[in-house]
Amino acid sequence: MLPGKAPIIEIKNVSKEYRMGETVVTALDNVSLKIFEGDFLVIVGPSGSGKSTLMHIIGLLDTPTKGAIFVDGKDIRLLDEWHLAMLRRNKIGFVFQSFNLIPTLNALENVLIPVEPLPGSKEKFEDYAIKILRDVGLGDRMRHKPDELSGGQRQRVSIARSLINNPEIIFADEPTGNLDSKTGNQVIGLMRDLNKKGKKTFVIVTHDQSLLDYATRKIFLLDGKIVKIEENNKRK
Amino acid sequence: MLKLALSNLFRHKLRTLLSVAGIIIGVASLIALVSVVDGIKAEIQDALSQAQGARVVPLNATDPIFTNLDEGWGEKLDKIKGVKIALPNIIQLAKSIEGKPVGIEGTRVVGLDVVKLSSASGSGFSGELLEGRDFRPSDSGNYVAMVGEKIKDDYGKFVGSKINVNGTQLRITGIYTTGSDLLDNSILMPIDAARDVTGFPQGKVSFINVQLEDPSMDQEVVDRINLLYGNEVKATSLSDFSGQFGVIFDSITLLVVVIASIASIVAAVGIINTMLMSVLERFKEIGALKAVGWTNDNIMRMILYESFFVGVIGGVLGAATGIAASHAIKSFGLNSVVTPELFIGTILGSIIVGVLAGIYPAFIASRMNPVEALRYE
Repeated sequence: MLPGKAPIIEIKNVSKEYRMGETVVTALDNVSLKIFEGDFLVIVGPSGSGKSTLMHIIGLLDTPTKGAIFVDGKDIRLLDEWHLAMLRRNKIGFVFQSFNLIPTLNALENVLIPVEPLPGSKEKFEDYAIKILRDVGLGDRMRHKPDELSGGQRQRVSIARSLINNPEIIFADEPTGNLDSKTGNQVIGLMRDLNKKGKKTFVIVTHDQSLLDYATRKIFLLDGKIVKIEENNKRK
Repeated sequence: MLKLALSNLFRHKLRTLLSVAGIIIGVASLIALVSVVDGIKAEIQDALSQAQGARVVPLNATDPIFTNLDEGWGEKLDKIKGVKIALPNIIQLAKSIEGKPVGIEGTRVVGLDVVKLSSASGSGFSGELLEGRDFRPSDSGNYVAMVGEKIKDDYGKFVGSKINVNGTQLRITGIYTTGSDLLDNSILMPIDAARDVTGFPQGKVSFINVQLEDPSMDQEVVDRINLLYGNEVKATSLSDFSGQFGVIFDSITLLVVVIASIASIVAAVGIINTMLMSVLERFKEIGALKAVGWTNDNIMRMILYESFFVGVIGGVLGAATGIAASHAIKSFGLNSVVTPELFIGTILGSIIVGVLAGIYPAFIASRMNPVEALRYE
């Protein structure tokens, strides 16, 4: 984080409450956070601490009950569903724990999914998609369907998919959660390279302590509150 | 996105096939039924279009086969202005030919006044003589017959051979064709022979076939007859018949279309059910699509494309099945015609049913909350 630089996304005093029958569950309680370009932010906390909710709110998928969200300094509370989708399409990539690849499409087609609704997307983006797949080490697996790929390879397809729209910021929810430690480490290494060499900003929600070593900032979450933020100067 | 939608349908091939089957059955049965109605209609119209002049039947007559009229009407009608000649006719269904009972195809025995006929222009429909000769006055009282081409083919007859109708032998003197199977399935003979063969009452005829000096004056002559004798007989111009048949067949077609619409509603409910199931199954996947920047409209479009394809596949396969069924019906002897309107109309109809059935599932999918979908990872 460079001092004085404007954050890409900022949340201010954000709370999120759910109704579960009669009781109100507070998933997030007055949380504020700024994300800067080049960040490799790792959010850790036990199950139910509100990690995923926090990520969904910063990722513009969910709306807070209270508080404000700024994207490039602009308050997005007044934007409708369509504009939020456009912001996600243009600025944000998502990587999921269970990959969420479409089983009937091959790796290349899955990578093209975010831009699929754009007219002429295949012509415009196919070369780029091939390049990304080569970069993530799947140059020889492009025509394989998800069920013909290993878990680590699927997660790399999923990361390639998150890059197709050349996003400023990539959100990853438990990206190593379904992988063994060896392939998990390869996926972590890939994300770190994308961060260091590709200048991509990452926000990663995880249980995986080994990810903390790569973080530029570590966020510790408990019961919907940020209990600690740590700058990591000895980053791997 | 079209390719994606199509590939989504292939995930559960059996399920897709079953919902497509709903459309196939609807479209195929519609095409088969309407093609038969259209075929019979075309055949009757074809037969009627060859008829000229007018027909005089007893008042309240239903079908000429079941009515009779005094023979004397022939001469009465001859005197009416505009009438060239009034030909008494007997029409009855043959009971047996060559000793075999006649089936549903209904071969008709037609008795003609061969003496009067010689001064008329044919017997009421413009047949073409293929072999032998036409009737002449000296045939009167003889057991001779002219048979249609269909009879010739069905029973292997030729000029000079005998044909046994209802147990009576007749000698074939001529073979004709009209181009219409319905009219070619007749055995023409002098009126006395017909009365004997069918046991028709003496002095009676089935109807009077009125030929006109000027065929375009048919309505005037019909009006004149009805004005003079309207309390005893009813005259109808033959060109009117085809119009009346048209009305009857239009209502039959309408009935078939109503039945088919009910079938399409059933098919649509099937599609809605299948699409809803498939949408709910893909809850997480749709959530992920939204997360990576798909709008609600994009999701809606994808689901609508899927149901569109169900309609297209169902329509095309259904039309193909329907045409095959229509051909099969034809081989049983019933005429059937698949008109281009029917073909295109049913395919378009099933596409519309497909898209309409997709609207609700597409709406449900587009409103899915991506956070709900992704929360339980």
